[in-house]
Amino acid sequence: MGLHLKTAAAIFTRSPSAFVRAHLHALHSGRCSLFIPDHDHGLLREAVQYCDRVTVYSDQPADPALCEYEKISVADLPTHRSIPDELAPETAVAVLFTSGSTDRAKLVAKTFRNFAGEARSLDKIFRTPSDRIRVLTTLPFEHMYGYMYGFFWPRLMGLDAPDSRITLPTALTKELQLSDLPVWLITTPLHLHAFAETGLRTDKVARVFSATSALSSALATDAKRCFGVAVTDIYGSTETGTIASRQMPNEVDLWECIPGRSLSQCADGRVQLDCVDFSEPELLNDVLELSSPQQFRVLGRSADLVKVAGKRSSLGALNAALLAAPGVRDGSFWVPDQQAQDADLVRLVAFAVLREGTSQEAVIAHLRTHIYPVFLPRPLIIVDRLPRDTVGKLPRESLRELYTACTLQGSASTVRAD
Amino acid sequence: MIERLESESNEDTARRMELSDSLKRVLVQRLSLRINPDQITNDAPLFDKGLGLDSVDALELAVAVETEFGVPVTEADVAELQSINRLADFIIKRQLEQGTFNA
Repeated sequence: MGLHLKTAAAIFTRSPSAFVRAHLHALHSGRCSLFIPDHDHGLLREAVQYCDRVTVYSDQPADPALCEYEKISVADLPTHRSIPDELAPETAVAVLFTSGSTDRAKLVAKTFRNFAGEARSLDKIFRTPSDRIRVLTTLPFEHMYGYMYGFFWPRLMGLDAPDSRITLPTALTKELQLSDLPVWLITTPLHLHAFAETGLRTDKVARVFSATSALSSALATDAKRCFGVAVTDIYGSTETGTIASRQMPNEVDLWECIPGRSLSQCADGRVQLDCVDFSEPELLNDVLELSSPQQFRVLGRSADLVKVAGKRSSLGALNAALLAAPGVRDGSFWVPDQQAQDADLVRLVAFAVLREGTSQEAVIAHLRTHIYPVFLPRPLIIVDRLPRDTVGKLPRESLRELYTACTLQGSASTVRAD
Repeated sequence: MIERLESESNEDTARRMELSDSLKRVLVQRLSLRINPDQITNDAPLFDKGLGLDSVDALELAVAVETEFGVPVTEADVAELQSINRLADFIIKRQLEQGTFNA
């Protein structure tokens, strides 16, 4: 890995406002911020290998595990309100860690050029310059999507954005009541589901952005009922930032690249992203069906490709079929470990959270008409909730644990598809 | 007079026990906890070292309290929801304020 940082700031803050204060100070003092997820000391040690000097920014009492590092108390820092405008394009702004449904945590370094380019592209398609907007987010700022949409873009463009994060429906209701400006809500399917369930209704939200996991048409319809606007679903990753968007619910399921991004098929079938803000193209992990360099359908992740009895599909495509079944609130396919080794013997498991009155048989009947029979789940396990993380992702390990728990407990409601 | 007060007190105790049992069932169902509701003690911490609930559970718990018991939960309230007893206190207090406790 080519990463080398002279001075870095490890952000170990708990409150969003402390994060903003610490990160802005790091930016103004020439330190690249390390966004260490969950205050993971192991990840800090890993990141430190690439840094000459690391300062820990903390809003917590002294932590003995961090005594080897120079430490700054966030409370003692001066308050900066904006991103410095004199940063050189190649200035390293932050190192993020990917997590969740792909691989183990991996370091991703981002420059001012990466972030500013993406923010300007987003601003170009989603906002007219005269728009005055208040941006509210349900995500932590140290997450790539939460950072770009809730922190960087608003502050680069001078939009109104509080140094706080909304975690509950009541907090959103209160913020909406207080806001004199139209609101943009940066959120996830996890939170949209909570807003819909509490029956929230408002006409103060001008735009809703959703990312981090698949947004089903049913949830998008529920969200539209809450906010009166379609949901702008975002496609991207920590490595690439935003690649494309689509409006949900929709008739035609096509993603449209944001300005400055284009896609092409490589000889090996993989898709390459060219971006004006990157120094080199990025190979994507997902299987895409390109209609043009700017338009595509997502078929699934390369790592999620499954082949059963000579038929190919992807967990992404199967999940989309499951989520589209009437009465399915949430769901996911999963390949059991012992079977993942041998593709010919693979039998998929699916988990589903059902609305009241929906039967397992109805879900299976829907799947029979939408996927090849060899991919039908064996079994379909009905659960009360999927183990999604704080941003709505479903780590494989959590699905493994859920499967084990359901198997051991033996009380989960299951039905075989065959 | 004393008999009436005792009777009302017994009724309140019974309602509180009913609410605590109901909360345990809701917790287990909504948060997919792999335990029997009866195994949750009224004073056991819900988060971290107790039942091990996390911030996603806090969101689900807040939605459950609002939709099942008619009591909206604010971010400031979450700190109060540390055990079944405290959750029951919170719901009863808010329902009394709303005039819905005996409804």
